[in-house]
Amino acid sequence: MPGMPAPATVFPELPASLLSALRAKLGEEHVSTREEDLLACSRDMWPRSLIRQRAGAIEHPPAAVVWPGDEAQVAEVVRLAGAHGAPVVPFGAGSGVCGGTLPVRGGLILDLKRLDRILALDERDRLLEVEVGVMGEVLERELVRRGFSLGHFPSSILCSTVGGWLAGRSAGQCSSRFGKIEDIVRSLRWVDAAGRVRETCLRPCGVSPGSLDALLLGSEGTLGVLTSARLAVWPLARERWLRAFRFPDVDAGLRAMAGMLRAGLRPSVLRLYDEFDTLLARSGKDDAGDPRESLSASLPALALPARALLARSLPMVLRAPRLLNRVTGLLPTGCLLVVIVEGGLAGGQAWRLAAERIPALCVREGASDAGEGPALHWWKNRYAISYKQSGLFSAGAFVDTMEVAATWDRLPRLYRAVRKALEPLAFVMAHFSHAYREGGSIYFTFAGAAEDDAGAAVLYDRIWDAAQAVVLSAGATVSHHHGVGFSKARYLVRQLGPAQALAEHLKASLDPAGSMNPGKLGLGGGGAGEAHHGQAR
Amino acid sequence: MARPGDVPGVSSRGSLAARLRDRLPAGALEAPAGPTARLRPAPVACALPADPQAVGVLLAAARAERAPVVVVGEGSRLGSGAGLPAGGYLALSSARLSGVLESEPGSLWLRAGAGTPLRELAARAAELGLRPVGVEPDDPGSLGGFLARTARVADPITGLDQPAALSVEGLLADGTPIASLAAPRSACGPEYASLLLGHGGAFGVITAARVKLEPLPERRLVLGLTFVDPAAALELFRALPLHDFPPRRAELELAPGREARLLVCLEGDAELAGRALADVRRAGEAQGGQGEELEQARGWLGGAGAPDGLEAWVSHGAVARGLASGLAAPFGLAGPALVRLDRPGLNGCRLRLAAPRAGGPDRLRRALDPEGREARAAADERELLGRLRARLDPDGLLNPQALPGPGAGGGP
Repeated sequence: MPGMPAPATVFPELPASLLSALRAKLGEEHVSTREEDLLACSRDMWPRSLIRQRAGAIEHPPAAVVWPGDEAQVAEVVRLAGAHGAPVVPFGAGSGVCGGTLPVRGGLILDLKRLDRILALDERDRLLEVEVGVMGEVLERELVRRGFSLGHFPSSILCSTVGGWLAGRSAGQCSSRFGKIEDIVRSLRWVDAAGRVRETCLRPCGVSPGSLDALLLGSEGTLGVLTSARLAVWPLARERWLRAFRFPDVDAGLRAMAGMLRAGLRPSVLRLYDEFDTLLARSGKDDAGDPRESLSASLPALALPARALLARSLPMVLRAPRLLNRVTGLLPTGCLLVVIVEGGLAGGQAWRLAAERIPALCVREGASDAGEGPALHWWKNRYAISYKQSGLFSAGAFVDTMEVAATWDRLPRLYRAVRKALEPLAFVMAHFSHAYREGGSIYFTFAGAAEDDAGAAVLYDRIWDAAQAVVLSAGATVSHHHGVGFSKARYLVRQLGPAQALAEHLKASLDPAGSMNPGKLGLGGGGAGEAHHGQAR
Repeated sequence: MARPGDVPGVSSRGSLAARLRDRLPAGALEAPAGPTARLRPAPVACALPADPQAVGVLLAAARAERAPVVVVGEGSRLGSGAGLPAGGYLALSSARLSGVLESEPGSLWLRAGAGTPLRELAARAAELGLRPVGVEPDDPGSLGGFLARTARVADPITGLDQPAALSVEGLLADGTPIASLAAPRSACGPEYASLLLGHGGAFGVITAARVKLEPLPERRLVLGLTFVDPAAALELFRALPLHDFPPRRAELELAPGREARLLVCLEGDAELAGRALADVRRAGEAQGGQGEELEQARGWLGGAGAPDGLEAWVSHGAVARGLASGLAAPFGLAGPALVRLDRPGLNGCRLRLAAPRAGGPDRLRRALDPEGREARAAADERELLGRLRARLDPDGLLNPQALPGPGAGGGP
């Protein structure tokens, strides 16, 4: 897209002595300063990076990429980098959407994908010990082969690692039943900022005292480098019940979701779509569990005649978001709720009772039974997401998502307030997933377009500022499962308020030199929007 | 000789009390009364702040005078108060930080002051048809004390552990206010407020919290099962967390020369509890057990009559290995022993052992962790948490007797 000049990429440099020491320790082939490697690690899937990259701007290239082969090599890299004052940025699969792996102060990208071993699976203790570089889907496939499951199914499972899940406190699609990753972790191994291998105690289920785990999980590489973890695993579910219901509005659907959990019915999946998301979920053929990427595919349902025309007109349509939001708000689609109950892990039948009770509970809130079809469709397509953004971006538009969490009493107001704030700026829709007894998450999707890439970046920032202002004033969390990274750092600082001082104390205690993933979580400078610094090559 | 919890450089008891009095508003210090009067050694002064601002003023004064501060709730843990500073300290009672402040039954939470007795909390929740999650009904302590020793509790639905409070408010040792948001989960960096939970008060003072609630059950059913083969009983016990509606409680007794006895308590509405009980009974009888539905638990369900011996969290595998070799020897003890297991989780359970005195906690720990991996990890955690504590509280004044990290929960 025209409009923004493409600045020349400035690559930072590292001392030659550090590079030779790294090559001596890791092997020549596991240390790279090749431009193609540096460019590949200069961004994650943060849409603002993609907008800037579309304009030709590579704002945060690293100085080198290293691929250690084991925990000892990770420790060596951290020690060497520390001795030379080089920042270290842990890197998994690069599928984060918050700029969490941007090397905003240059330095080393520490790619952990070679730490991909399953170290142990104790079937009696239902305990898995696994390195952080394992890709999610590979791990789950191996567990299933052995009769187990992690119960953790982020929609990015095909392109994310265990380490990324731990660093960003991710959530899976069955979080209502199996919890978020922090509920699954039993202990962590990590390399601290001084290059020393550390470990936390095995944490049993049930009542437990305080642990360092709660501080390391979600630390996004700012305190050290996670290398492996012990995780709880479950035997495979023997039975699965799927059903969809159509509610008159979001409020009724939310009441039904809260009611199911309050009644202790233990569904694995609860996903409520607002009106437009429902339209996408119904659109058949190529829709997906998360409909944002289906936007361009599904807009024809709004009477646009052809996909080709849509591709040309999409940016123009998105430049009139208020109108688009109003039109879609009139759609008589209702709100679709997908419910999945799994059971029989111990061979019992009691799970059927939950399944039997759910329809009546939904009908009481005004829902009609939509049968198994839409739920089965969601189940079959639950990972078919996150990979279809390119159409929108290449058409000159952009799309992003914002996942926030609050208690049940606040969710309806929060949903409406964010929608209202964004309606003049972007096309917006949402679904409610990750439901817990006390509340849940809202997953907003917004799409916008501007005259050029410079305008798109400005609009993108306005959208986020407007949405997060509402989130913060409502007392909701700035993130539920994507993490904070670089992009949400300034919102997190506002959310924490005086407690930001504690974050800084913690950082100073564990990373006194400030070399671990600087600029993330509002720590270590390089605040969002600032240019990176490093010695120019 | 210095005692654990002593703070070097603290001046005499009398002068400390006078200097604190000089720094604080009139009437801020009171004579020890109630639980604080039972503290040994006795504090030089006692304060009962009524709001977080007053707590901040007290902490600031104590820092200025290098006076240790020991936070006291209902005093239910006075027996574990070993290590209280001998050279004089200020007892900060949470008694006036008490009462239910607000509630939102639709979102299953209730916000209360840290000094609220757990019994009062349960009574207020019961008025809403609810009860606090993770709180034992007969716990004599206060909310603040409970949270200071408990970071996570088992979720009544999933059985997985979860943060013990929906949100927590308090002041760090350096006086910084901290409050987490009332949200069920988040991904907003480290859980900073977790430092107030389960670390024995080492990092800060809890002033209030949102307590998680769950509906009061309509029915409570108890199933007793006996097994000739203890291995079969253990297998059923290990499978309990996998049931569609896991038991609220379960206890397994393995005694030399006797049948293994398993008691299982199921809760919910009548139909749900009944269906869940039928599942467990069917599974137990398929493994050779004899089941009997009981009016109520006879004997030891709920902790009454627990063996007066050793206690540890153990993996299911460790118990199975113990069973295979006569139970006692793998736990570092000579001869067979009475073993009771409860709180079955996905990966392990709590083990309580009626042990000959020749044994002891250290021997049990060594037996369960022969390679010392967990011991090293615990030392790691304590060292790193200690670094943070030193930054927040360089003189180690707040709850100096508390030990953060694994093994936390110290303090009165």
